[in-house]
Amino acid sequence: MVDPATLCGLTVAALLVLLAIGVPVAVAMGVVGLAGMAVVGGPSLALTQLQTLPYYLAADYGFAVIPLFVLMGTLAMEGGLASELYDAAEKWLRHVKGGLYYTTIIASAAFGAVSGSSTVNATVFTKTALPEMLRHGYSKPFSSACICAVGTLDVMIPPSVAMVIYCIITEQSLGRLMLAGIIPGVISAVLYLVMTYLFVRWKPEIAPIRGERVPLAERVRSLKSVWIVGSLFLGLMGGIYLGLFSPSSAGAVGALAVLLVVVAQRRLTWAGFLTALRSTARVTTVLFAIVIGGLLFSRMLVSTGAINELIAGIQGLSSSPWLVLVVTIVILFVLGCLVDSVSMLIVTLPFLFPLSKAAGMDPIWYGILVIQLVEISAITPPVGMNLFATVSAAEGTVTIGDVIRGIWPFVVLSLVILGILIAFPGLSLWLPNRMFS
Amino acid sequence: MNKVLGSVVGLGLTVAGLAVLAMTVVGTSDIVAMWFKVPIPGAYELIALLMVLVIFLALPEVEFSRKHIAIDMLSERASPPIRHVFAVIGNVLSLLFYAAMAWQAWRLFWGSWSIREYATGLVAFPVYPAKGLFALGVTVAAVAACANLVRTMTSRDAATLPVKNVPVTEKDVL
Repeated sequence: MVDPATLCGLTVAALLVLLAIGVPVAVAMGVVGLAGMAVVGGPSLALTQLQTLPYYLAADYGFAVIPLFVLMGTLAMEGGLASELYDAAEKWLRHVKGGLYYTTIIASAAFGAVSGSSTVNATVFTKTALPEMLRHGYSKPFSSACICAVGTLDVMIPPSVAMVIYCIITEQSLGRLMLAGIIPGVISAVLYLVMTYLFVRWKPEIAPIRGERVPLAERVRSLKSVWIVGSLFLGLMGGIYLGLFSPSSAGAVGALAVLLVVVAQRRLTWAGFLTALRSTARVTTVLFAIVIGGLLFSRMLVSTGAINELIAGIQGLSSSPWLVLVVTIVILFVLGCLVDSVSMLIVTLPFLFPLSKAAGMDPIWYGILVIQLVEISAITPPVGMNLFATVSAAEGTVTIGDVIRGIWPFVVLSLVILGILIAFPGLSLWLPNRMFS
Repeated sequence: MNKVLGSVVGLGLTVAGLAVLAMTVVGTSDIVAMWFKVPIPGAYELIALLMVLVIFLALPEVEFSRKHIAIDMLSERASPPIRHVFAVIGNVLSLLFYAAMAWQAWRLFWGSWSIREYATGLVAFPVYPAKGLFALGVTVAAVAACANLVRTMTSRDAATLPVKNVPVTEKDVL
């Protein structure tokens, strides 16, 4: 019989090899998980898991909010809300040096209020903002990295698919976590603006052209889309706060509200509508395939007994929250460079969350720290989902090397934001505590 | 053969998309009905059924069009023959994974069908159709994985092999 630590090490090594040679993440985790379970508990254990886990996971009502959050984003995009937000911000900031960077950051953060997926956000703004930035002679690495990095604000600003996954695995309140993400999301957007301002001052060549000031009347008219997005966001969060609907039902209300708005304003064609529905089903399935594979893998790790040994080992060292924080940051940062965010959450939370609980950390605050680490994982090379999404949507105008050259300031800033969120738990907890008290 | 399969998986994706729309409508209607204290009987179970439909009817298209997230740190830099080997390994593992899941899914469905399984709730909601859809979707995904393996094995041009590191393309969201 192989000892748990050795088996755990072998399976992790096998997984990394399969991932490195390009086996789909879901399949690699599923196959290694099943093989490990067959070794530990015999083939019947593996086959039983394969029979029940995928179906019961898909039929779990709690997960139903994910496709609906994704649908909100795809409908808003098909209805042109993203590009109108961008146009509005651009009109207000055209005359400012580096204005297109600020435009992208503000529009992308605002779009986060109606979209649940950071890769959707990065894709949309690569299509919308990047051609404008390059046309005006903006720096290719900094522009593409800016779009890629601010797309991750979508993870922190509700609605957020990653928050749903965190809450289901840890059995926490989605409403509290969504409220907890608002202030950190806004602070992150402001700090992105400040850092970009300092960069433009330091290296003026990254934003060479300053445009003409747009007349005030035209700027005010452009705020129409901002009003729509703001109303949708406030309606969603307000509905949860007032108890009109539960957080898990917010997806249905939000998606229907976006649909009604874009239809009433004649923003949506039939073809666009169908495309939004089809891409929502596709994105949801890609996510769920990873969740299924990730759960097979994490259950295998639990069944080996290695996870319990690891938890006991860390708790034996110390029960200090600081140790748990360091362990969480190191594991999620390193894993975040190697695997995608969803599988990272699925595989690590079953053992990280009990550690944080035993150390007496607030589960919502801990959730916000994990979400911030998810944001970082989406932009850290070599495997950052937003890096790939940006390059893919750029259609050859930027390379992965360009984005990676420009991304480091944003990675460092994200780590600074993580430090701020650790130092001041109130930034995450004040709003949910106040609204749910 | 690939054309027929492409049409079948495309139809599955469209039905899955319409199921998302149905989830939106049922979910919102249930909330409104709750305000008037008359919850829609079986809404909860219907949404769960629709979720199964979304995921497992879209799965064949995701597999057939190779939209799964893959990370090719090594394969991108490998020579064409090595890439070919990596691609075959990936296709074989996908086929084995989906085939094993399909086998187990049919067993799950058969168990449910044989007792005409119903979920207990405000209304007795049949469970076996959802389990049947699960089995059907995974089976078509296994067929799609088989077709992909054949395409990879018969591909002469290594440059066109399905090694890709792009998780979300424009087509996914536009």
